[in-house]
Amino acid sequence: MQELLLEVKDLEINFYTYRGVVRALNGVNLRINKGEFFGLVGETGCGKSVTASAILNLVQNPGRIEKGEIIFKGIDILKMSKEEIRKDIRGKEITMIMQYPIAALNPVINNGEQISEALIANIDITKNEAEKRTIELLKEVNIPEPEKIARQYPHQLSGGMAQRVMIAMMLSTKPSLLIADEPTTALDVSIQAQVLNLLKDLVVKYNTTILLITHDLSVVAETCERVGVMYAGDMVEIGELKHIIDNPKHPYTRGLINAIPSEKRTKLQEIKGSVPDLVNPPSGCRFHPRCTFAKSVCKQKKPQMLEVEKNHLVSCYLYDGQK
Amino acid sequence: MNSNNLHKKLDSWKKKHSSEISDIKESLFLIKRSPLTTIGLIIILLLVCVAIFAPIIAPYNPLEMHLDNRLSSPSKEHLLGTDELGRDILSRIIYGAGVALKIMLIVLAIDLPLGILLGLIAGYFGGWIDEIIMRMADIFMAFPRLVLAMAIGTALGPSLRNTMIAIALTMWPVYARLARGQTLSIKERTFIEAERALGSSNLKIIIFNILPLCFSTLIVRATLDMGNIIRIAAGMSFLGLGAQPPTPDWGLMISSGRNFLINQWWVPTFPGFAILLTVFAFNLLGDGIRDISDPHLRRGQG
Amino acid sequence: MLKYLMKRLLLFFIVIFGVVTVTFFLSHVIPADPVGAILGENAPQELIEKMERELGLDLPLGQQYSRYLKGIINWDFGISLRTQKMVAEDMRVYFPATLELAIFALIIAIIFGIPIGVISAVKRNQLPDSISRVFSLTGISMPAFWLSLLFILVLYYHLKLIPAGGRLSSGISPPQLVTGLYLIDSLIARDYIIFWDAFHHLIGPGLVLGWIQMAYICRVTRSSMLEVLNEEYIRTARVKGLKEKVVIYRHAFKNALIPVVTMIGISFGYLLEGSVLTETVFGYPGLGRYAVNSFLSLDLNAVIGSVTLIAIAYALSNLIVDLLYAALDPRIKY
Repeated sequence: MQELLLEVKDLEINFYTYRGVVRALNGVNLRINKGEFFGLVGETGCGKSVTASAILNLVQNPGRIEKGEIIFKGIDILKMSKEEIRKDIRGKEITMIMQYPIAALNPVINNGEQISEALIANIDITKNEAEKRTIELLKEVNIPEPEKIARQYPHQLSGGMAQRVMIAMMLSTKPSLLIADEPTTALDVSIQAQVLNLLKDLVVKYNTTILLITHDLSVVAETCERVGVMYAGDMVEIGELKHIIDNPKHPYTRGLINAIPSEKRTKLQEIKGSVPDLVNPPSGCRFHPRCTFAKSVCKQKKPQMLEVEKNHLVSCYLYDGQK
Repeated sequence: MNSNNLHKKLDSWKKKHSSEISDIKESLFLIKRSPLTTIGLIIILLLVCVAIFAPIIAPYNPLEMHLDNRLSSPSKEHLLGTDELGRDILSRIIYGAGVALKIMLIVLAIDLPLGILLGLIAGYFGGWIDEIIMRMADIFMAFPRLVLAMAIGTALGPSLRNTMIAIALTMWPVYARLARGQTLSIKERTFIEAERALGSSNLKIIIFNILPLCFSTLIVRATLDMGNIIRIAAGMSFLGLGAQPPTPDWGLMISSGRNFLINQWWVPTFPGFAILLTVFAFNLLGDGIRDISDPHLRRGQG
Repeated sequence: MLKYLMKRLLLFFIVIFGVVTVTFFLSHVIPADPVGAILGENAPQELIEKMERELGLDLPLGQQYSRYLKGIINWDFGISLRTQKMVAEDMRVYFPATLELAIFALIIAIIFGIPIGVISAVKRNQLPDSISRVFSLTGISMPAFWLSLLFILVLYYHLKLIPAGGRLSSGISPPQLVTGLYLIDSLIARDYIIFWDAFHHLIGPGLVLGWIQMAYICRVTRSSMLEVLNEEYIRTARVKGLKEKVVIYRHAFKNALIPVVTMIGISFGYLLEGSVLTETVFGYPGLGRYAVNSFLSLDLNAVIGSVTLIAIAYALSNLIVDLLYAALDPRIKY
């Protein structure tokens, strides 16, 4: 039996901007099991990064968590005090690597110090030991000449190297959950696979869980065991990778998969229409204006999550009453 | 012309300029959310009204002397007292608003075209012209502004007109640098290439394609400088290099009222408040406009 | 690094040369009749001619220029008509006074300006931010000469907290000359009475200039911090679970400092500018007041001397700032 690590329940987040209230997350549900490699897929602005920020309680102004629960190891993070989250969760239990690794590293502090700082802040360790451990960590992420890289500054690194430094930093404290927010999007194609493979290896080695956030289904296909698909602030489908790829249920997921080139398809299909403005999101199912199967009920009420097969959940009226 | 037609035209105009319209809307939203900017704007509008309607608002003629009523303390007749020649201080301050605003506008009217022209030429043509203009700018910026203005003002002879010229001469490098930077980035865009391919002359490209795009940056910068100009002009007048008696200039009023500081404090004090308030208001506005035009800060404010 | 240093020094000398040339134009070319302006319209012809000869104004412009340049290279500006002393000699007395005042004001400005700016940014749009913004905007909008007058009225006349003006009280003689900065010289001489008296005289003009400088530094610190706090690496620092204090002071502040250092350099220029007005009001015997008096009495040599010196001091402070940059930002490699 798999052990539940993180559960996001009915999470709702709004951003208060000059154009009005952006309804960024519309009641998202998500369960991640210990030790798995979970992928969260969706287009830019669908709310996947906001979800990640919420898990670390780092939603930036003018965003506000309106309601919901984020239960990590049985405790609701949103009910913890700021200081508790900082001390007990961030760095120790949950960490994150980001899309632009060079921007994510402090330009005026050398690489080694940035890693050992994370160690010292979270683990009972002396400065000397931390520095030694830093070098070991850099070796583990396959950085050649780790001593030299530790002394260098972020601007002297390539994107791939910088992401390795980030990975070393964020895994240094052996967290239970590592969030990887578009970890390879900004990297050269040739480097992407290396970084993904490295992540895969380290998950096993460190016994960590990974929440991988990406807009790129092929990245998910290479790495993840389970996948969640988000659209315009809603979770539309969750299931095991093979279910999602071979047997997508939600019209949006189907559209996404049809848009990927493969041997079977000679003609790529695009999803008609465009992503809705979340200040005035469509009523009911937010996908209905673009959906070829839309019925009148789709406009009225948001569909519930339905289990269409084991561990495969879809939020769509097409499957209502089928089972 | 029927109203239907008008509507259509309006709609098409709205469509064409939708991005500008939403930009202005956003700016207005941000101004509304920033009370300090609004306060600054209100003070400035009041000031402009005071300057325009000075003859109606002012209780006395600012130049009228009453030697039998010298240095009288604030009272019902003279709300802010009278100065060493028995002139009503309030009336002089009211008329002074016009003097200050006039100085500022004239300085900008010299400065902006001068800076823009030199910056455009430097940026567009590059090479040695650019080198000469920009090194000139460096040199003019190597003086502290007031000291250079003093030097120019002294060389030209002390007068309000020369003060304005002097201040303008110290400020053009800022605008020239900005205009040059803008020109350099605009010059590389494809539509300029296209214009050139179509055979437009350099002059035409500069005036119709580059100049309009430089404007917003320069206007923002100019709002930031407005308060500064008034402050420096007041300093020049205080030192005796600017406005000459009997002009109701605030700096000059402080300068001549200095001798009465201890016993008739109101004489030099009130004009100073006028300067402070005016410069403060312009700085509030300048700050607000800069914040609004800065995409970084804009994002932060949401 | 060395190459950059050479390049930067070269630029420094080009600017100084330009400054000197501009000053020449302002003093020799533009004024139609400098001597007439000094002596008055009705001065006897032979007196005018004598003076023109003394100042070299009867020579052709090219020769005047080379004579002028030679003088500056030898740091010889001739005799001041007003004080009847060598201008270079006068400046040696007055410049340290201004330097002392400027450093004093700058220290006040940095001590208060930077922390207030940081707090303002961290508490953005909250009460402390609003207070500090109004306070610093007031400083920026403040006419220095008027604030000086208010200080004299309130701190000297009503509260008797500061002396009326000058650099030392009348009964006290300056300390043994070492640096020309009385505070330091008196400490070297271990004469604490002079130290206290000199300090006392610095408070008034120092606070005026310090407040205005503080305002500039505070604003730049605030906006620079705001920008940095939006950066990705600040998020990283928070993800690492660092204390908010560490995030702000170690991660954000170090990056935000770079523009602040520039501002401090620029504000040194404002200091020189403000000292012109403040010294005049406080009767503080510094270069600023010397310059004003020279301007007002059309003392040509003294004007050239003081303007040149002020411009060099300003350019030098900009040079130092550029070099400091390299120390602060590892991204800059010359």
